[in-house]
Amino acid sequence: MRIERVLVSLFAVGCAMGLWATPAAAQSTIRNPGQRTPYRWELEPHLLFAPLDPPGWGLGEGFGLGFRASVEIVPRGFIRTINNSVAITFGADWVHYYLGERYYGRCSDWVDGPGGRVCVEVGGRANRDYFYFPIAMQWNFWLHRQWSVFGEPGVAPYINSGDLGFTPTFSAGGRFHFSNGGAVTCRLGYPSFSCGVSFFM
Amino acid sequence: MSVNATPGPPGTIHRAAKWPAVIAKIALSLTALVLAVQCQSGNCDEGDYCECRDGNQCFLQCAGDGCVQNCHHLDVCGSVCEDDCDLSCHDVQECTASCGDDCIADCHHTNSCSAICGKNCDYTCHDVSRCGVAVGDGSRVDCHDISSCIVECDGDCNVRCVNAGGNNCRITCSDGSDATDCGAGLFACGPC
Repeated sequence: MRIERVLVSLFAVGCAMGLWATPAAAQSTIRNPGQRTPYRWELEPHLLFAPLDPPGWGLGEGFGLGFRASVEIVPRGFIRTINNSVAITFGADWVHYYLGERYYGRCSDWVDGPGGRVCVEVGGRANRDYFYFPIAMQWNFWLHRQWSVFGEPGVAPYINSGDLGFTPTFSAGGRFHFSNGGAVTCRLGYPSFSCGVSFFM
Repeated sequence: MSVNATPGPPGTIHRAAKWPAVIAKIALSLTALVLAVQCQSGNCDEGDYCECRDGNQCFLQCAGDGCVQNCHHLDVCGSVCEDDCDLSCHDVQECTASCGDDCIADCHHTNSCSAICGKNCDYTCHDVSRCGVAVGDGSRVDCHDISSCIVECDGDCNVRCVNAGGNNCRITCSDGSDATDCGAGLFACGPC
């Protein structure tokens, strides 16, 4: 069922992205370093879908809201001959997990009974709400006047039930630039998928 | 979407967007995304039916009272619930149950069943190697076709223990004394 939900979600996102499709033209910009929207900051509110188990005790899938800010630090990127750039991206994401605490999970507290151990608490101290604060390197590739892609390796501190934890994060994403200063931005990765609108400033 | 290119500095792309259409498309996109992420399973709230099956370990917990929880075909499975719950576990190597008052639990065809119940618990254990239960006042335990049955009663309780592989029923009352043998495989803490 989980895979089906992921596929349905990807399909929906794909359909939404399809709304924006325009006929391909000879508008590739990947071989032209610097040919793209100049910006210092990218601000991106987004919706989140978390199809994978969260870090820590929680289990299950969730969705939420978040915000990401990215600041460009290397306009010409690591590869001088192509149109790429590097930014630092950071933000805050709230994800509410539907199955996070109560339904099923790991046993977090055993006590001795007359016949052996008995589980008396499930899911540890986790509750269903996670607050992530991802920070990552964003390596952008400006493929086309309307399309760009990026990879984001980093770390995501998170707070759950008042406890601070850390999880690695990695996302691969893409943007459809519907105007000079705006784009629809989606990313797939862990701990969550996102789709939102980017404003370049 | 039609796009009109306008002059600008080299390396910069300027386009005039049709904002109403853009906004409409954004709304449609976000609506599609919201519809997609709403396709979720429910959780085990009060009165819900929850099930774990097929796998290694699974533990179920009810968010309150009145859940119906079912474990089967696992290595280890546990149910945790408050009051008025109906728990079952079968075809599992190790079953555990923790329940409050007025619970009904059934554990069968497993290697071991371990449970802690509150008052007025109705616990059945059969076709099991080892069964161990701690129950509260006013409870009833039925052990049959098992290798051993160990029951600790906190208050009055009645235990039926038959086909337990010889003398392998051990019922202990809250004062530390053995239960009264009421005959025909029935034991009691308090009146028979």
